[in-house]
Amino acid sequence: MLEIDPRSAVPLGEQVRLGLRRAIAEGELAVGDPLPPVRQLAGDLGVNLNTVARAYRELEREGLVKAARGRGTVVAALRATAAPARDALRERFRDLLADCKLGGYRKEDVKRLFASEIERSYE
Amino acid sequence: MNTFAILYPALMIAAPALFVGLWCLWTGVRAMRRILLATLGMLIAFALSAWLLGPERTRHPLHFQLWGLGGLMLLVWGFAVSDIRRAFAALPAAPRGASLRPRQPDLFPGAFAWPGFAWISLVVWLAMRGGMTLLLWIGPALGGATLVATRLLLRLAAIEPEPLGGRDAESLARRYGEFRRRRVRGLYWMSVSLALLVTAGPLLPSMGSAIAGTALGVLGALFGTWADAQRYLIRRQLSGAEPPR
Repeated sequence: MLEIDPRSAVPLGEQVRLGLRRAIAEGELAVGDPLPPVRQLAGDLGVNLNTVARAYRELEREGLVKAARGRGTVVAALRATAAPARDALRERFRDLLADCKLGGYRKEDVKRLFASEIERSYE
Repeated sequence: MNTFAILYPALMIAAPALFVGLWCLWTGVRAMRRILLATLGMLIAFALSAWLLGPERTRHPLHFQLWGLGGLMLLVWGFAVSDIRRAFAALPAAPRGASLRPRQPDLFPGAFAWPGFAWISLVVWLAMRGGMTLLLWIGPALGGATLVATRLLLRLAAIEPEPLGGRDAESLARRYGEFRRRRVRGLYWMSVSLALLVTAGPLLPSMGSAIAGTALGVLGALFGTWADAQRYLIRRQLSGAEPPR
């Protein structure tokens, strides 16, 4: 399931794109699986058609989905063509850790949280 | 005085309140006051008009059609629809989640083959029977167009918004699935019946097709009211205003 938060500072289209990426990464969508039609997803999420269409185009640019004749948009690969560099990943991870630390989370709690999420994602 | 000229507008004026009443019965929402008052006012105005104009003018098609259709439209768009929309708007904001599985109309195999065959058979029968003027072919042409449009209509019906979320997304998804199946099948049978009825129009006595058309119209209104009640009940569960089933 893909959920969006209209009150979030992250734009709706970006939330849709990130949600779909996560569904692909976590195996909710496998290679060859069709994505819901743009109209269906936009209706369910209560967002504009263009917002979803743009998210699909971005994912297509990343090589994660492709348009298939007669089947709409399908998952093309489980790896993006342009994977983020290790340094960029480290930066994002550090930002996340800063959020945890400033949020008052204890080191052990953060470790447990990350470990369980890593397990879930790489199952 | 012609009974039809009195009964027809009166029934048309009363119909929106009857359907809102059904909606209220199915959903348990109390939203009848405004439409009941408006219907009562409209019926009194119609009775006054009939009394003032006398039996001769009341029988005039312009009079009973104006009161029947005008009254119906005014009550539907001025009260019934807005009252139901208000009930939807009063629900707490719903979460915005979506399933990632594409939805398709769930129909049996050959769902469009037999109506297509029936339509072609009727057209061949009409052509061989003879006596078909160009005007009489409008019905069969409309029937064929309705069959073609039904495919598109059902595809749209299958992707009607089904936002997920809340306390029990799984039971919500099941409820959506059940409602979608019934909605799509109901629309299928109504559209196919309408297409074949319109096609067979030249073969039926005029009273027969009028009765069948009216019955189909009433069934359609009943089906629409039921579907709207289901939408409301699901939306209430989604908003957390009702415990999951």
